[in-house]
Amino acid sequence: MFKIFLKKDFWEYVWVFTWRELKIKYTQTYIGVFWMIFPPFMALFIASFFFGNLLKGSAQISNYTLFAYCGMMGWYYFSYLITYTSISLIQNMDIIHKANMPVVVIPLSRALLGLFDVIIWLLIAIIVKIFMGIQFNISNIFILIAILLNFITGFSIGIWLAILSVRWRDIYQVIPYIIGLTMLITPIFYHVNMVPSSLKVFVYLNPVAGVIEIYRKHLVYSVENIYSFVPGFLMAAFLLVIGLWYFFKHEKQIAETL
Amino acid sequence: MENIITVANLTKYFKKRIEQRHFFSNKYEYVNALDNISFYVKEAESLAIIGKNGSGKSTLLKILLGVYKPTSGEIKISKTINGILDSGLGFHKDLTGYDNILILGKIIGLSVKEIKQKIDEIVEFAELQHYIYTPLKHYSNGMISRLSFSIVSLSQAEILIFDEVLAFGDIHFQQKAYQYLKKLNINGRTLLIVSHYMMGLVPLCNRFILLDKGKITADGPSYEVLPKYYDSLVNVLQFAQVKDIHNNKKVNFSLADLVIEEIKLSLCNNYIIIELKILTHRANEYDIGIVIRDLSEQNITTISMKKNNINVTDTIKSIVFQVPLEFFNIKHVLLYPYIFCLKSLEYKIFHEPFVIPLHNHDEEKNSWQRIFDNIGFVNIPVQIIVS
Repeated sequence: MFKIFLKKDFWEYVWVFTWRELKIKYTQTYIGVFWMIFPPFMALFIASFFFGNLLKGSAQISNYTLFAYCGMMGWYYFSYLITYTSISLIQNMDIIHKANMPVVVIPLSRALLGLFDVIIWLLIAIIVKIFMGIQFNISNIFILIAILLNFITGFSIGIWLAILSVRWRDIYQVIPYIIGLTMLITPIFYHVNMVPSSLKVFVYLNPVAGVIEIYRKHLVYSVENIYSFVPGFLMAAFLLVIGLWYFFKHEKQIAETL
Repeated sequence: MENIITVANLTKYFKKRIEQRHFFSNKYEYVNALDNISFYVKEAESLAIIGKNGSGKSTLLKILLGVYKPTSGEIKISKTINGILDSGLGFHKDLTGYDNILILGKIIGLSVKEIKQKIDEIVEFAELQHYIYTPLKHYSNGMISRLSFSIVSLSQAEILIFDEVLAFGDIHFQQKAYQYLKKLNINGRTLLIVSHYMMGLVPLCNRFILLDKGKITADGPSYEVLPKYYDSLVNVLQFAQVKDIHNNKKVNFSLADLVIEEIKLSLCNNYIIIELKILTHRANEYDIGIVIRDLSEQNITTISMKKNNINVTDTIKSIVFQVPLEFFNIKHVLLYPYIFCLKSLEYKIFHEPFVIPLHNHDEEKNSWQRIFDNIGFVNIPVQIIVS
């Protein structure tokens, strides 16, 4: 079932489709790819000025700007993955109907396209960190693993929703609201410790919460503790296997039910 | 020659919604898109799959390409297969022609390296050298179908599949494309083509399969299959309204006014006698003739009631044509009866082109072409009359 990921031809499909998505997204814009730096700058503004100064977030949490920025970065990519991969099969209906190609390519290329955005977010985070005068540390490298975890969790849930929305279009009508609600219960602008300890379990049931914690540990606070990955990895691996299994199980029926 | 495609007892069901009563309660029934089909394709064969709309042609090709899974039955394909089921598949209107070549090429399974090597050849074949960096939204339908045909036809696969890809191309490109396909076929490639363009199919394909409601009703060379195809169409294409060819306005004549009830054929002294029995509801002056074409719908000859116009005053009238047997040196012909009402038109304008043989005058040819669009036809097996 998973042998397809070892084929060179498969990754060529992924490359061409990612490139196609990138071209479509920024075609007929004046500044093109430079739109990618717009969301992180907005996030930076919200984190530092709005939540940091006006709502006095910085009074309780050290390095609040970067703290909130990390939360928004994780959240941005996660919500991107859920929204865009879940709708990708429906948007590329004509290809699925009439060509024999591995269908996973379509959501996967969408997900990888978001990775470009995340790299820009990360670069800006590094610049901010230098600007704020925080020391760099060897554990900062692990931020890349955090991005991988973010990718896997979002993508797994995304393809699962994509398959469901092939059969029931109701799914993608609901997704924006679910994303809006989950944003509130995700520790983006606040610290997990602020949540009453009885409710903490529910916060960690949210797959993004853990990922965002890892982002912060390794980007803002430079914690040299690799074991912090373990729950995240278990969660991601579990979701990935379930998601892909469900996708491949229904792959052959997509062309007929879509 | 070995069989490179083997289809055995292939069946495909589709769920069809037949009634939507209210929000959650829909009534479904199963439709046989393909019903227990078996056939073989040999190497270097060029196979045309013909049939009416909805007869299962595209479903068959989709199953062969692996897009759909068969409900039951078996398919064995021993060579590489490639093809396109729609012109402009996967094309994005905002991207340039060049980008879309890369995308479609990848969708049908070519490697990026291969596409980049062939890109000049593709552009040249599609005759789009000046438009290749233009976004696809400024292309015409013909240009898009030219581009997608060029990409697929230059693929290296042993078996090529085309489903109405050329429907939008102009006559010039269609001829060029069919010639190219002929060349590929001679060099040993296998072709599977779905099309309604008989003029291209007859010279290209050496085998025809006629599908009707998911079943193979005929399989063989063109002169065996095409008559059956036209027979099945006779009921569909009855007489439509005939337009005044010179002013392009509708004449006072319609399907309800005049119907050909019966056609009788007989042989007499090297002449074939064609007798049309006509039913009218209104007395009118009509001019009646017959156009004879071969199976690829090319004109052989035209016969009309020469000098004397028929004034149909009875309710049923028989009209007799004599056609010399020399016109029928081929096995089958298509008979296109045509009828004109002359009431509101001058006699002279209409009468002349009937006398003059069709292929000598280009101007008449054009006006005739317009008539052909509006008339029905009857398929006549000449062999039966003669023997």
